[in-house]
Amino acid sequence: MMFSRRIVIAVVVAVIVIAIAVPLVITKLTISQPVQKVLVVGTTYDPKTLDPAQAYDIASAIVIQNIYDTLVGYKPGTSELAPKLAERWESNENASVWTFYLRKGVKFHDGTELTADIVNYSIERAKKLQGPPAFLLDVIDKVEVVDKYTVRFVLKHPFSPFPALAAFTIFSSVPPNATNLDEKPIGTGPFKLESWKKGEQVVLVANKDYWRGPPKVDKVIIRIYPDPTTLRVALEKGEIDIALGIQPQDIEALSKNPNIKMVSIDGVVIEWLGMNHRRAPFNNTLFRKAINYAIDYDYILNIVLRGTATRLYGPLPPAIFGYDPEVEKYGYRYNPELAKKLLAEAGYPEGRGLRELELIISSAERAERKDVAAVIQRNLKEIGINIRIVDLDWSSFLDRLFNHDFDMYMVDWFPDYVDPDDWIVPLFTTYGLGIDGYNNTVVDELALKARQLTELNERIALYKQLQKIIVEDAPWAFLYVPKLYVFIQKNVEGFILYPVYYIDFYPVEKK
Amino acid sequence: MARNIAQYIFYRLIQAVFSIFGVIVVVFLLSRVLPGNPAIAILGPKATPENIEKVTREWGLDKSYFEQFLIYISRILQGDLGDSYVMGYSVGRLIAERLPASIELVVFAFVLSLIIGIPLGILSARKHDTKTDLILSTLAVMGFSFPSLLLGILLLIFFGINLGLPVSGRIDPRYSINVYTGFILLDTLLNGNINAFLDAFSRIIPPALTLAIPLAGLLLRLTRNSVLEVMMQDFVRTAKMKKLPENIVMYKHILRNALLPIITIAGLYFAVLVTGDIVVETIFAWPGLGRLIWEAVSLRDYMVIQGSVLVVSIIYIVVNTVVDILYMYIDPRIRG
Amino acid sequence: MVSSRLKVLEEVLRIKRVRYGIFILLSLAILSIFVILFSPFEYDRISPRVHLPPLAGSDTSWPHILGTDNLGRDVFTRTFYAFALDLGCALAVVILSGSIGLAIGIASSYLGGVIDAVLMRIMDIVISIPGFMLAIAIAAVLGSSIFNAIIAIAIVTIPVYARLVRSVVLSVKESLFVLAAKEAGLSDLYIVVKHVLPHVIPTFITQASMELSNAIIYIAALSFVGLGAQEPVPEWGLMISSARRYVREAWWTAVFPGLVMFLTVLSFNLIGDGLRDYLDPKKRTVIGVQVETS
Repeated sequence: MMFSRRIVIAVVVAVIVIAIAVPLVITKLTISQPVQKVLVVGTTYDPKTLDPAQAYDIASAIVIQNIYDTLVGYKPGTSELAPKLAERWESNENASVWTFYLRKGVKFHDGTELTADIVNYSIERAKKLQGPPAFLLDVIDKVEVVDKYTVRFVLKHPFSPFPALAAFTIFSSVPPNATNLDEKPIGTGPFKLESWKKGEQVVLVANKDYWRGPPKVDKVIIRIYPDPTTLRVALEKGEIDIALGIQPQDIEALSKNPNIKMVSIDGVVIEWLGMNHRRAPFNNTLFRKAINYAIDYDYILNIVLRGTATRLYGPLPPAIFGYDPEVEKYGYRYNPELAKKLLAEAGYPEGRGLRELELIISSAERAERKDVAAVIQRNLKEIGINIRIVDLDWSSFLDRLFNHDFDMYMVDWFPDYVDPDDWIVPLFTTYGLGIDGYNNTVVDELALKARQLTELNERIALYKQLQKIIVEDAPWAFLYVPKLYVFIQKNVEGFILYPVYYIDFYPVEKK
Repeated sequence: MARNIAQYIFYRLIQAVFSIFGVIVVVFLLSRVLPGNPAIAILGPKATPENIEKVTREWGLDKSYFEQFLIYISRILQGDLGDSYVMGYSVGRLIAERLPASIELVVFAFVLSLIIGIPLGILSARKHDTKTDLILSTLAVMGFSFPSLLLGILLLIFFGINLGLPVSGRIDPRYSINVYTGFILLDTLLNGNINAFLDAFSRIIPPALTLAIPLAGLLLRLTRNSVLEVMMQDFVRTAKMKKLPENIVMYKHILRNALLPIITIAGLYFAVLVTGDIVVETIFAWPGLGRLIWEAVSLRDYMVIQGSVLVVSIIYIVVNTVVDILYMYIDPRIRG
Repeated sequence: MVSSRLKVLEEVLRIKRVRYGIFILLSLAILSIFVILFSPFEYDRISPRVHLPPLAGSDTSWPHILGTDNLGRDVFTRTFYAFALDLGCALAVVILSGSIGLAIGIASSYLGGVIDAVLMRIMDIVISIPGFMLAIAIAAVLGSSIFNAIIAIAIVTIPVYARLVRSVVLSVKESLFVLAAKEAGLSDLYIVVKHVLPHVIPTFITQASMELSNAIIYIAALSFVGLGAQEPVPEWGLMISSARRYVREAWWTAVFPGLVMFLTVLSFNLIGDGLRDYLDPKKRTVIGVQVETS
């Protein structure tokens, strides 16, 4: 009896000890060797700032989008709007007052809770700082805090694309007590900043308390490879998990690499050849049409860009509502004979009487632009127009563009908000940027009308009409719409590409 | 004699200070001949009125050129090179971050070129007027004539494509290395991370070779000629006649005398190299000063361009001065 | 006089390095002229047949000897157009900086005093800034074009000549025949042209041939970083800069322009090196006194 009781006790004790010890040891072991899931992202862009009130470039936006949340987001993989910090929103009849209902219980990295006051503060702060994107807030007359979780934007004029605008990074909420947001950002987003070494890398760590739940990786290292060739090498060697900014010429070879997955989507960025309508010979519609017919678009798309872009026939890219596929029938196609004829009709038979025209570009961020320009130079030479390419740095380029000091230019347009309004108004109306000096009162009127309507179908009809009028005037030579490409390693899952340059590391998983 | 040395050093230092002052004047002039409002050139086209006002006030741009120059010089003396509004940091900080990478690359390349150049030079001299000498001399001229553009591309192809080694940047970003010295080869060792060290080592080789090969060609020629010159001198002949084994003659007498001019030229070249080679750093994405200047050029970040030119020139002047003084200590003959 | 000049030329040509250098240079020049006159390809003619390897056939009577680039342009044609362009630019640099340097050097040494001191201190300052850095800073201020690149490089290299000329003139100045000429009441200008210049010329030419190779490297490097030639101008640095993006699939687009550039630089270095030896046989030292990187 005694003996057996002792055995029983011993067995019981042993079982208890083992039962406690084994999980302890196991957890201890796993804790002492935490498998950190690190996602390494390679990009060619170097962020300029991490302050959402100052950021107006893709590189900064990529980082800011993962540290902060905006009021409105996108449905996965589309440019359709979806709730983010705002659960829902509504407007009055004529789209001039917008009310946003905030998600409750959203916390900043420092523990502050998100409230309507903070949204108001963030907008006021951005307005006060007058950073590069601050003009986007000009439409806002005042912000009203309705209650703790409801905020109302009163606009200066009816503006139906407003929710699309609220997806821009400047609508990120920042905590009022933060200082030095440029270098030490504090957001509500899925990642926190660990370190940022200019020109080298940005390191983000997971925000375990994120309101959508913790991200799937512990750390994101965004490594900057200013040279696209080295970015490609790094991808092929497996040094990086995700590559952003692979050059068009590398895409074909990489798409055949069995170890690498390619994600691509039609973008919303458009590239065109602009002309200065204020000057001869560009004030002549026939001359502009001649240029439109002189360019070998297929060569540019297939040889230079290697199928990494689709043709742009009119003012709007195909991926946006309001685009009318009819334009593919009435738009301009390569026809050098017709171009020569139009050139003669314009008063310059075989280019006689023309001075040497200057084409300004900035190829620092888009290397293929140099090649496209060289093709255009040759195409125009063949019909008798001599041009000289001048490759400028981006700031001098903008300087000359906005001082209207150019004959021709090539540039791309990156929408601030995904609505046809953001192509038509800034680029083609006299109350827009007015780069080219294009002036058509019908376009002015229709574009104004379109931004005041709330009914989607009515708006679409107006944009179709606008498209036709603009193409007929040939203010530009419409070139192409680059596709977006991201290359990822086989073991990386969950990455979703958006037509707008929204790079979300939150759902990305590493197997 | 001692007074001569002191005089020489004093003269040399005065000259260096004068040169540095001159460089500051040149850089100042360059910054003021920019077209248009210098404040806008500094800030870029997105300049806000407040920033323009701030920059105008900070640099006294509304005052006379003379006053502007005084402000400029007093800020430089305080170590303030201004702010890069394009890159969003102070120029001093940007340069300080990039300088170690350039120095590391140059020191490595320099050692590499010494290892290649000097032994081959001695060999060439010992076998002078033979086929070996001819081949080595030819290689030397070719090496010296190699533009870094071509050499860099060839090494990029060879190491990156043929050997499949990483050829960009200093280290794989996944190695988290605590920075102690800023020199990645040292830091990886101090971290005890051998794999990281090997990675960094394999990445420094191609850019370092690109810098080292032309320099090795130069050193080969130099070593050959000065060893030859000394070999022809009387005391070596005497030693030979005394039938000392050739190797001892070689190393004891010849090398000691021949190394002098090599050190000077090498020092001079080092001063050039230390300023960072823009082409090489661009080809291999080496995050050094040269790369910074390239970035600044493509963004037309004038503050960074000016600051870098200033810093680089000052380093260049200082190194040159030090080399001159050292050389004078080593070789009393040049004190004229 | 004539016979002695011929003799000098003969002696110079007897130096092997000079002969090799001239041989390479002439071969390249002849090729270049041949290409410019007879190539069926225009340097900017694009075609859909991109990145063809060397010796690939074409739709003309010539094959693509060095292949085609990313726009289907003939690399051989472009490389040798670039030879003419780069050499022309380098000559422009050397003529510009050489003549200014010569003038400064003669003025400084001949006039002496304050002018000499001021001019030489300015030269000291310019030379104490690493050449390529200063060229970049100047070119960035002037704006990117091949013309501005030439000016920037010329400014940077003036002091080399100025110092060299000054030192030679100073050594000649006190010589008997100059003193005699002065005694005879000849004008300064006459003395300089008739008696001083002939002594400067040999050293000057030697230096110039070295500087030509430096100028070529500088022009290519400036274009490579985007401060020189612009598309579609055929220029080595620009060609290499564009080709670098495709170096994996079409190495020839980067390597051949680089190779021809290398041969050109090499030929000038060989000639300069040989000349130096000839002029100063005692000092068989360095390949180029000026040690500079690109």
